[in-house]
Amino acid sequence: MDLCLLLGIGVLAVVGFLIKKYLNKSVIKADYPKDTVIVHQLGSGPYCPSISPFVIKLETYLRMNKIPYKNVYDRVMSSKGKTPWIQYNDDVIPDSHFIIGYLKNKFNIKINDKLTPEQKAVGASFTHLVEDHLYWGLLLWRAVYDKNKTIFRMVGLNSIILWIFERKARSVCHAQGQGRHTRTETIQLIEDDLRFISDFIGNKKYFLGDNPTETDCAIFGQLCQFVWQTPDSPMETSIREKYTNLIDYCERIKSRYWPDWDELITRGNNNNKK
Amino acid sequence: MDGKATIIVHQFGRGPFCPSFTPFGVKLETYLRMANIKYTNVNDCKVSKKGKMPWIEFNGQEVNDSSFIIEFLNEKYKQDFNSHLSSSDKAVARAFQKMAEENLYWCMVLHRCVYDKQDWVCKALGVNRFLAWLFSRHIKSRAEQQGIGRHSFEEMVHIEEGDLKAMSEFLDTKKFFFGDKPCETDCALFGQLSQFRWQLPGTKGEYFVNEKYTNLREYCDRMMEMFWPDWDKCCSGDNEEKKEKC
Repeated sequence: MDLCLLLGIGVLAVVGFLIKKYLNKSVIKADYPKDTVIVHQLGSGPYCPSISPFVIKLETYLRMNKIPYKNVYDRVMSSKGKTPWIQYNDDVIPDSHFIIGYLKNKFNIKINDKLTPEQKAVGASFTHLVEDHLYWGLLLWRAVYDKNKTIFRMVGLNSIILWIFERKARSVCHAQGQGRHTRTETIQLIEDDLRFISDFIGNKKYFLGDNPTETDCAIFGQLCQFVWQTPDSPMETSIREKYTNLIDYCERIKSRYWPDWDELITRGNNNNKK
Repeated sequence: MDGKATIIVHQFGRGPFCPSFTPFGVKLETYLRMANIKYTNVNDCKVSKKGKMPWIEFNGQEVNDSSFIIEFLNEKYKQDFNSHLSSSDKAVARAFQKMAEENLYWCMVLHRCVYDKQDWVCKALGVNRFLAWLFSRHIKSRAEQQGIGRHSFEEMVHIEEGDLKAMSEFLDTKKFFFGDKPCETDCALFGQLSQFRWQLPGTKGEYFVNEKYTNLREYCDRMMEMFWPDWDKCCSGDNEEKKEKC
């Protein structure tokens, strides 16, 4: 009996793997428009166009640099098991960092050209702060510490999937390191990051001065999640009470690059979901 | 704080060319020396309740995670070596520290534990190849979960160079990262860079720090001279008697 069960699970795993491979291949071979960046991603968020900060980062970059693109909400992962990823004609590129590098070369983007080497260095360091530190706090809050799992429920995940996802998030965050801290410590680390980002932005219009740069895409991608998509969290309270310049900053980028923001969010109504 | 506290630092053990194999060990000890806080090292390889090293006992109380330890000691001894920085510079300091500890660190670990073809770690630690192979699989899995382990070796080196170039350009001709005086953040950055400077033999990481972005090499030497006059005594080198085995 046990052997039959094990064999059954093994067969299901192999079949699942083959279906996924077929789906991935069929997604890549689909008849997409030429000379248009095809962005493969999960789907709309309730209060931001995506619950993934990396999707917001990428789309903001595409909009900032007026690169034609089309979203495909197929929920198919890249070859690296992540999302978003892109196709551009015959090229397939995963990971937002490498996608932006590719687009910079392909479209000869010069948005960072006026920055000094020191400014570029500072921009790079803050990008890592938000993507390699603050991001893990966001994941821990949403998947583990938010008792209601508000955002994940609003995108339609049921209790069983949420239970599995919490286990997975705990494991991944433990491996990364931040998952070893307590809830109080995690919230403090998030708060510290937000405070430092707020102090650095100060009264500036954009992250590195009067003009937007590539760094703004990464910073906005992460910050918009905290400003609009961590409802009823201590971080949301801190931003509204203490770090209001983060709200002003996000509103500025949203008005400039996302005039259609409200059309792209579901507000929890999954009939609006893409 | 009256200075009579007993501080025991639990850590991995002396490295052959740095006082620790872990950048967080070098970070913590550099801070303790900067703060002139007396401490005793116990190289017992015992992990903290969070499963990490280094950690300290402060009058018998466990304090873990190098950043939390420094915050704790700053509070106890009423000191802050970043206090002279502007609020904007403190933010930049935070950003560079996180870049080094949450991203560059993983490149160092991958070089050492996954991509090392010279078995340098085996030889330095005196572990057998099977154990080293097991550990390599464990690290690869963790790096994949963190994210950087999903990239190819060339992509990882590209990311690593990006970080080191940023640090080099920010440091520029300054003596320390934020001016003529070292600050708390220098302990963290030196901790990470020291591994690239001295303990990643034959790797691209070593090449970047020692040959391409040479102001980082000079910075490391400066920090070593200032806080570690006994550096050579704190490294096990090839001396079997000095090597700390777990």
